[in-house]
Amino acid sequence: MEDEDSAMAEQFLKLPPDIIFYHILTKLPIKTLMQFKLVSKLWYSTLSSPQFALAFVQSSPSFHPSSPIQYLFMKNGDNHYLYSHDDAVEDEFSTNINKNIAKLGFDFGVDSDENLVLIGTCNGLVCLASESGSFFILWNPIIGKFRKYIDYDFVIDWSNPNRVSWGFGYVSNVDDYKVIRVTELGATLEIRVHVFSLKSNKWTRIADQLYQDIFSLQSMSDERFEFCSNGISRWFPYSFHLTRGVLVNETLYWIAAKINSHNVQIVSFDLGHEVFHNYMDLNLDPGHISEDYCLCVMGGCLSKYVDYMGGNGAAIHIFKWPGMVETILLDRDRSQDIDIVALSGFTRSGKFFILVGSATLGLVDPSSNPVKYIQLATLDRLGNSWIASYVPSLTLPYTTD
Amino acid sequence: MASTSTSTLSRKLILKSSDGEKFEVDENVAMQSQTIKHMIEDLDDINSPIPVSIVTGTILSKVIEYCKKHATEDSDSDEQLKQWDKEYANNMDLNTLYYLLLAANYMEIKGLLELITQCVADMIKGKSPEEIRAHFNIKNDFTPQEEANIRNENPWAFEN
Repeated sequence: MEDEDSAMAEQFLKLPPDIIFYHILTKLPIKTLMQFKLVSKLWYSTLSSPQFALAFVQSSPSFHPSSPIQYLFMKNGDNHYLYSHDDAVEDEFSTNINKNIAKLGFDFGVDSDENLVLIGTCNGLVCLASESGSFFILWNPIIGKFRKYIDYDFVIDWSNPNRVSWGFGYVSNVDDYKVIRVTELGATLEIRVHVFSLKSNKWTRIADQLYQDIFSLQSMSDERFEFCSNGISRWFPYSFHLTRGVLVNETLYWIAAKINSHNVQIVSFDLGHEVFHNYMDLNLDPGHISEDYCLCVMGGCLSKYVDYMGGNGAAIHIFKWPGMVETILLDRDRSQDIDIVALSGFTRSGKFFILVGSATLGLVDPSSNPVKYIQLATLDRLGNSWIASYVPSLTLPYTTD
Repeated sequence: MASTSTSTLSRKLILKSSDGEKFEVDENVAMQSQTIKHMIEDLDDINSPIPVSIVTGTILSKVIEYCKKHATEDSDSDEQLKQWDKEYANNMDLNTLYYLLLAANYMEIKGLLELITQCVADMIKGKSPEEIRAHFNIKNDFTPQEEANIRNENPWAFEN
């Protein structure tokens, strides 16, 4: 056997495995890589390793935040879907409804009375979290692996439910994934912020001083925000308006209320330095109520969607760089009153995705006038839905060492 | 030596292949190789030949052909340059391509390494695991049971 091998090697040059793996295979599509795990034991272990998964993320242009969206991850009630976007059939609407959508069956072993919320996606990992705040799940649906991260110190007070807002992202210079949890305590109306680092496998509490000037529930105003958890309604002085932060450039953004003030503002959390900031550049007009706004990511930039109520159209403000805000006006047909819940952009041809009324996925061509809206998929009305742009990867939802 | 000639602004360097062949090239052509760039920095006398120890003359001449094309800032558009790259890579047989890949890796010529690895990636994209083994001369060390287990890990990857 040995002789046969060396004879073959002589007539044909062998490339060093490092060049094959890290320079050639990183350029291949994910499905091909999954098949190539069958080549040999070395190929299997390399293609399954976190080192290769990282090299794949770093070398593939599709992970660049501004690259066109090809996949969307969707959560609808307890169901999860992967929608793959085909630019070629964009305009043949109604013919491809529900065709490009694949249901991802998975059992996380979560109690049925725990609501899971889609927090976000990053480098091919999906982060789902419990509405109560006690755990989150990291899942790579492509390689079919997940892990549940439980915070055993987290106390759920069922008579005074907490309101929880989460965020998920990646810090490249330390190669670590982080999950932030902002808990608004139902009993005392205090705020607690914790950050989980995947690398250290630990929850850390962020000191109150680091955010008490920026946001707080200790509001003197009469403003209250209704929040319903497990059938119990609570009225919070409004603080965080979203159950998930929007991730842009390793920083999470939320709409939040300022201390002792009616003003809403955008609050950011830098995942690398673990510090909060007021984000002024896309500031919100004071006096407007929260449901007029949502934050989203368009072309890799933090964006604000504003719905001017009463049939006055809507606008997307895209924060390109300091001082440069691009605005897309959606001068829509008054008869077509659509309730946009979430947005994500852009596709290769400059269109963007919308989630309408929590059960319909649509595609908008911003250059059309009045704005054209194509229905891509309709889901069952099972409960809360959310969408997030997605890039398939081999990233493991846990560390191996 | 050529470098004393006043007819050209660019300095000349001499590259010596593993089999002793010498190539006189403009400095800006050779400098596309990070390896050579670092060697020149440590060199007192740039008139002496610079050894490119693991690259043969045949391959080195092809490397220089690529570097010359990419060193000149003439009227070639990006499109034309891409077309040239494509034809350059398509004209190589597989073994030449692999030697060129090793040379680009050793000489640290980013553009050339990128071009050839992309070319090889395109070549193997549609192949089956069996064809990959044959292509890279790899022995299958899995038992049929182990192979079946891997297929079962992610069955969708093996559907058409």
